[in-house]
Amino acid sequence: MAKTQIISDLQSAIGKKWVLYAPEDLLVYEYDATIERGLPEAVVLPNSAEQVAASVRIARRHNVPVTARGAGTGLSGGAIPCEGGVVLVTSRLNRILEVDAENRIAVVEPGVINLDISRAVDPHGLYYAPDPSSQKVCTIGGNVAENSGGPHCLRYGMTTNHVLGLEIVTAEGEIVSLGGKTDTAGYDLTGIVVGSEGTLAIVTKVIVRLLHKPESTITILAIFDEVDEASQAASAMIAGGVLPAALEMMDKNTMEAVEPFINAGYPPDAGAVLLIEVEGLEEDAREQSEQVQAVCKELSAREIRIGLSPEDRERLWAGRKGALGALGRLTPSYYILDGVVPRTRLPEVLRGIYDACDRHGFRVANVFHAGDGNLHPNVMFDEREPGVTERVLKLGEEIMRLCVDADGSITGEHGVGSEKRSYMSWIFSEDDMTAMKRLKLAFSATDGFNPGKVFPTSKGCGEVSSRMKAAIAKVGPDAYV
Amino acid sequence: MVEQATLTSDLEAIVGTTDIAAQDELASFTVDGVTPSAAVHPENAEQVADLIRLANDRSVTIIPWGGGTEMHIGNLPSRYDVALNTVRLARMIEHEPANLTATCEAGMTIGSLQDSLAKAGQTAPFDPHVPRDATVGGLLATNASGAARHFYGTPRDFTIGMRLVTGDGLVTKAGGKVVKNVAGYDMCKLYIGSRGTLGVITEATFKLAPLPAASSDLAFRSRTARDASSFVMEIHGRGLSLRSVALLNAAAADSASRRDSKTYFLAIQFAGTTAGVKRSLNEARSLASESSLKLVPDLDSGDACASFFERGEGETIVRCSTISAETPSLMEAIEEIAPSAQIVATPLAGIVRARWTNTEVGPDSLAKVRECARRLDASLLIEDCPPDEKGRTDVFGPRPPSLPLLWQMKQQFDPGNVLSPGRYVDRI
Ligand SMILES: Cc1cc2nc3c(=O)[nH]c(=O)nc-3n(C[C@H](O)[C@H](O)[C@H](O)COP(=O)(O)OP(=O)(O)OC[C@H]3O[C@@H](n4cnc5c(N)ncnc54)[C@H](O)[C@@H]3O)c2cc1C
Repeated sequence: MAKTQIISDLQSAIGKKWVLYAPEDLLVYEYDATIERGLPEAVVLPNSAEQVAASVRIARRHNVPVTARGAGTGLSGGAIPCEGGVVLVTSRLNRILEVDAENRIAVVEPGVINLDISRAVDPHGLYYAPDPSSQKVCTIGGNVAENSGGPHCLRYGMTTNHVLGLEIVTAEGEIVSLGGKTDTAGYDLTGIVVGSEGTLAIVTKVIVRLLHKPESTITILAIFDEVDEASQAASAMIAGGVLPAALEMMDKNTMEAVEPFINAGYPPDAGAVLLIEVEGLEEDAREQSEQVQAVCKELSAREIRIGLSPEDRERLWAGRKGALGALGRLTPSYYILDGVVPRTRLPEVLRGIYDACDRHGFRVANVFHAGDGNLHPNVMFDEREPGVTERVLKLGEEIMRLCVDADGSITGEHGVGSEKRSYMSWIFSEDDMTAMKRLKLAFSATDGFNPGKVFPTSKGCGEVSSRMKAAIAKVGPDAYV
Repeated sequence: MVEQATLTSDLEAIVGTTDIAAQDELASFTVDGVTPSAAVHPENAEQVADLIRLANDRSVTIIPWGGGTEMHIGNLPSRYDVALNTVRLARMIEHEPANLTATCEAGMTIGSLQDSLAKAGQTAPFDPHVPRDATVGGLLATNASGAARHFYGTPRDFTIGMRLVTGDGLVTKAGGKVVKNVAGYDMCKLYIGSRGTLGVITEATFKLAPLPAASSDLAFRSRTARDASSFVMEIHGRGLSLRSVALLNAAAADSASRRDSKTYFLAIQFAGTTAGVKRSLNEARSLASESSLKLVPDLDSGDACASFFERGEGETIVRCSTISAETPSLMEAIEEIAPSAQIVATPLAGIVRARWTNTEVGPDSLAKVRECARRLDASLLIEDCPPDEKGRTDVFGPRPPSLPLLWQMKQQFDPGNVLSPGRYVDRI
């Protein structure tokens, strides 16, 4: 009775109350915001790095894998225990341990919610820059594992650019600190663990960099007749020397979905809107806003709206932020994709995406980070239709191909997870993958953390889930990607 | 020891007879007093891989060599047979202004890279004051930064793709050409800062930045490091368009021929939009006038900022990293130990770099400075010191808690220990 033994070991290490194994308790931990699912054998909710280390050692002794889980909002199946084992939930590791406003640094536990850091440091005029759209619920641990981005990472960079150091638990169950508040000697293991999708280590502490809030922010919404013009405007701005804080795009299908709910006033025949945010000193924001408007006009924007006050800006963002919610009302399910292309290739790749969706008979709404060339096609489908999931996945694969063929990548911010493992060979040679495997071997010879992710395997991960909507719903009525 | 004649002919078989340095040129590839037996100039990644495979087969060691501007940094090489000079890997591969990205070979110098990008009004956000003859590969291998670090970050923050030949000759690609990419492990992070101990970088792709529309310099004198540092924090907190900041102690300022002042010298560069820079200048001036700082008219801050990379013969140079607020204490503490030390710091990034002439300070100054950094929780890298000192001490400081992982990485990526052996942390 191996299972009983491991559970009693875990219980004695971290307390009875914090080890779940009844089937009805486990169900909550079998899914995230993707199409897949997989059931763990046990769930632990440790309260300290020591308890994490103890849990890892116990799992190792019993030869079962450990998969860390934050809020379960991942969009690549990262937190799904493909091979069963123990799911380690970080919800009790949710303390902000230190705010050092003078040095613009905070030290937090991995279960801290992204937005809570900014809330905590707001009185000092500071904030934590990476802003995944799920920031009201997703955890820093999940952000670190996925190297999450967000609308404003165009200017400020991704999670990796804001993490100075980590405390981790290794596969051997040892607590090790990497990096720190100051430069440290040795290979940049912090940079390696960020984005490693929970496969190298469990993160138990994160040292983040904080930024001063900008003095002034201007939001600009530009409406275009054609998607092409909007994409061209996006590249033209950047080529012209403006690097906005955010540069987002929504296509016609998204606008149509959003309009009845948000009443944003999008013209029914418009092809795309760009939502651009510029910030800095008042003077900088103003000058950049003028440059942005000039580019939009040159590319025949038919209407430009400007938001200066927080309320006006929020109104301009409403359509963008309400997009997923609106889609949810239009379609029983949607599949959120994530691909990247060089910004200049956006027009052709978008055309390819519409084409592919037409061919496969699906509607698609594109709402995405145009400034980074990071596409998020949302494919609408009805999961009750027999065989539809396979068709949607096939379409997803085709769209990823389009991105790769345009010199892009299979994921810009959601991660490889189990979903895209088999696409890795499209962008990486065998030798490239060997280098990644070696890196993993350097951390551990065993496959003890989150097996079945990142690297191609012949095994599939779990079954298809219809619970992703529940995960997305957790983000709130205004969930957006 | 390798047999010289056969080594040369084996190397020539890979790179050809013209791409191997003459005997009398070898001295220029000396590292910490060790002169290699050969120096080769491979032309592409395949040749690099062949050279590395040869090294593994023949138990020959290689040190990659870029512009040679930072080769003094590192522990003594445990062995050094061949310098692998990237001078012929110097092509610009791709620059698409509308993508704000560029790809070039590792041996391209920063000077020629920046000149070429500037034509499109863009820059690779390496510190604007790094030496022009430093190479892209060298800067990535050292993750070098200076006075503009708070603004642009370090190379790890803007490098999105790389090609690297591992210590056993795998030609690998890391990352890609898109600015946002989380496919697989972020291998670039492992290679950046690895100082030629895991592989030879042959190519890199960067996120670029627009060249600022306007920039302008300001300089101040300050009686204390603390006042200057607080001033910097204040203007940074206000969001003024600070691009570079260098705080020099009197010894450093005077040596940059800024008269015999006995005061600290603060050089600031603002950059951004024309209006933003104008306002920043005005606001900084008026803030300074309410403080103890004295404006120095008509000065270019360039030299001061470049002093992060200067060095001289017979010197000891240390680079400390601390939290911003401790910058002035660390500067003062070093001055107390080594009064003639020239110190340059950037309070926003908490970097303090000190150099002194070995004959002008007490013999135990280095040990004392190290101890003082340790007390202040600062890390310290000895960039340069007398070779016998290097024999006694690890220039990277105390062993980091992740040391076993570092050795594992070396084992995985350079199993034959042929690349820059002995030069890294814990003499990896
Ligand atoms: C509506 C919606 C919008 C979204 N918008 C964005 C967006 O704009 N940008 C973006 O990048 N992503 C976005 N996402 C994806 C997702 O929110 C992010 O990937 C987020 O970082 C996941 O955090 P989480 O806490 O939910 O992690 P989980 O989903 O619980 O886990 C994600 C991965 O992190 C690992 N992990 C979690 N904690 C740890 C730890 N302590 N140590 C090691 N590994 C750990 C897990 O094993 C798993 O591999 C969105 C998702 C939704 C549903």
